[in-house]
Amino acid sequence: MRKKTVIIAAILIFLMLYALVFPEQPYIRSVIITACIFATLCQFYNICYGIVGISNFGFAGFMAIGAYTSALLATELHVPVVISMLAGTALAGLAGFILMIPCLRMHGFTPGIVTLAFAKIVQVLLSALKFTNGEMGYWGIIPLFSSKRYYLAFAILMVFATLLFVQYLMKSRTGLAFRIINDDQGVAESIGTPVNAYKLLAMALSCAGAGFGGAFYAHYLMTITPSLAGMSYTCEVLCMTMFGGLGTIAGPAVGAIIITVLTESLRFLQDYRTLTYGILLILLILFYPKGIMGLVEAVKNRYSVKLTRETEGGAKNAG
Amino acid sequence: MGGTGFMTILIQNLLNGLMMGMVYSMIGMGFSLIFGIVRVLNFAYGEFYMFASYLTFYLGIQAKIPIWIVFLINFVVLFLFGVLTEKVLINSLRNRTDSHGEHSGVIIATFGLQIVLQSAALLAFGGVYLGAASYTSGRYRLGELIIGKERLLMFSVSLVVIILTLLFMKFSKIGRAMRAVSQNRNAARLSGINVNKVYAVSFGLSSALISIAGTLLLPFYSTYPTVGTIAMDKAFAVTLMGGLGSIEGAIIAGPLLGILESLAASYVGNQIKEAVAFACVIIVLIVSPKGLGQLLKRKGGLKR
Repeated sequence: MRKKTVIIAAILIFLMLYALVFPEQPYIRSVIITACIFATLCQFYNICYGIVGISNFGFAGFMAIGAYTSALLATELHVPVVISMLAGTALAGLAGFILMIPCLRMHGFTPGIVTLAFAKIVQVLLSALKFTNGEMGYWGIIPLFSSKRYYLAFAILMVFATLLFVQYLMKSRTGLAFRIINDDQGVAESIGTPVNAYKLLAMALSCAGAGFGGAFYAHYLMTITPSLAGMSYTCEVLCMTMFGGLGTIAGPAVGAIIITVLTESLRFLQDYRTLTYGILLILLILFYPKGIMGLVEAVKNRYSVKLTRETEGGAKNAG
Repeated sequence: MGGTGFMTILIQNLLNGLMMGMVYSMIGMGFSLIFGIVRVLNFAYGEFYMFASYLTFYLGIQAKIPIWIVFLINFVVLFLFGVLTEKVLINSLRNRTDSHGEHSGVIIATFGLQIVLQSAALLAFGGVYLGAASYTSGRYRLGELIIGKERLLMFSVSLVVIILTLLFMKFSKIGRAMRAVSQNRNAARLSGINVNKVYAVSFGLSSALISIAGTLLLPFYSTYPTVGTIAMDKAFAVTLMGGLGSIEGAIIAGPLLGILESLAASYVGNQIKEAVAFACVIIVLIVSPKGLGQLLKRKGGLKR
């Protein structure tokens, strides 16, 4: 265990140092940063949908809350960027917490669609209000770092921190409670788990993560539009998470990185890119409905089956 | 504006909302049908609308085929398209449920279908707005109230379609099977109902319903590759208010949404009417998590 920690820390430090001396290649850097942002978002998305089982189809709405809060605070009110990002995170988490209260009584897809309706409200308000600059979007956001190199290092740190956090969470009492709730809420209630409190916590945590990811995205791109709250971002995060493996610890991040690299590598198709992406998505889900982690498991199973067959064969031969 | 101005405007708004709302009912009904029977959230539902409205544009406006025939063609084409979607995409995934009990794979599949249809439309037709002026023009006057023939057409067509669908569900053999599956799919399967056929027919019927909405609303919203989001928003709002999977709820919630939108547009502002509609959805859900359908049942208003 301690050895593992050392190895992880060493890899992290190496990657971050490498990021700081990374050769000046803006395109590759932007792909890596985007992949890291989505990996973080997917990890947090997984907490509520994958681990606790609360559906959420309005995740992008919370991203937009974090992004706009942080951007407006930093740019209009000249709050230090670190504090404004934390404020965005907190506000998104609070919104998730409050929205979850009526959702406690709902099951299945219903909370998902309530959050979807909420994201829609956020999007409409952001495009209607004056101080967010409406449909045109808000630009000229104060950057977090002076150099893009630092963004890369920070993005890598962010992914590692999130992964470790989720791993720690899953091993803690809270994570245990989360998993029981997902498996059988009735059982969880009968053994005295405060189900509602845990659900509120999961949602607040997940939405705060969305807010943080959104805020980082805003300070990285320095331009945001109300479409950030739109369905397409939620769809992206949902697909990446499910592709990686819903409810697994590292799956969502893996899915996010693979899908980001995949969409970027399809750029040579130009106009046909999105079409190809959609078709690939359908084919992947038709053939590997359990995502990448399901695939890994299938390979493992096949391998172990082969092993047992071989030993059986060996036994026969011997006999 | 005279002394009676306020009341007239209010009633006019209610009337407009009611007529528009009937189309929303139809959209919501189709969405609820899939969710209630097949237990699938179809995120590509709006793209079926887009498909239908492009079809209407090219057949009805460009090729000048009479609108009644366009309705029929759309109905048949979209029905078959829905059945095809169910057979190819949904059916093979549905049987492999994961631990969540809900078909998360199906969600990605419908998202994928959405991306494919949208980008295919963009490649085929370009990103331009294509629209029709209107199918009929002119208006009836009723005292101080004005009833546009266009809206009357929308209202009556959707009402007829909704009633026909209800009759189909009530009296036809496959309609009864659909209701049985929505109540308890295992019991239905045990009593010899071909559940796969029911799923396919429900999917087809749902996309046929939205095809009619696509034809009716073409003069209002024109058509472009992402027009489906409008229909999707309406479908979500209506089904949420009415209760997911409840067909009666959708029928009641449609006019309600229409009226709310129309009131919000004239008293609050056109830009945030959508926000008002969705805020009302959330309020309804807080009061009654299973939607209006449940509220009615609790009061004893509807039996079965």
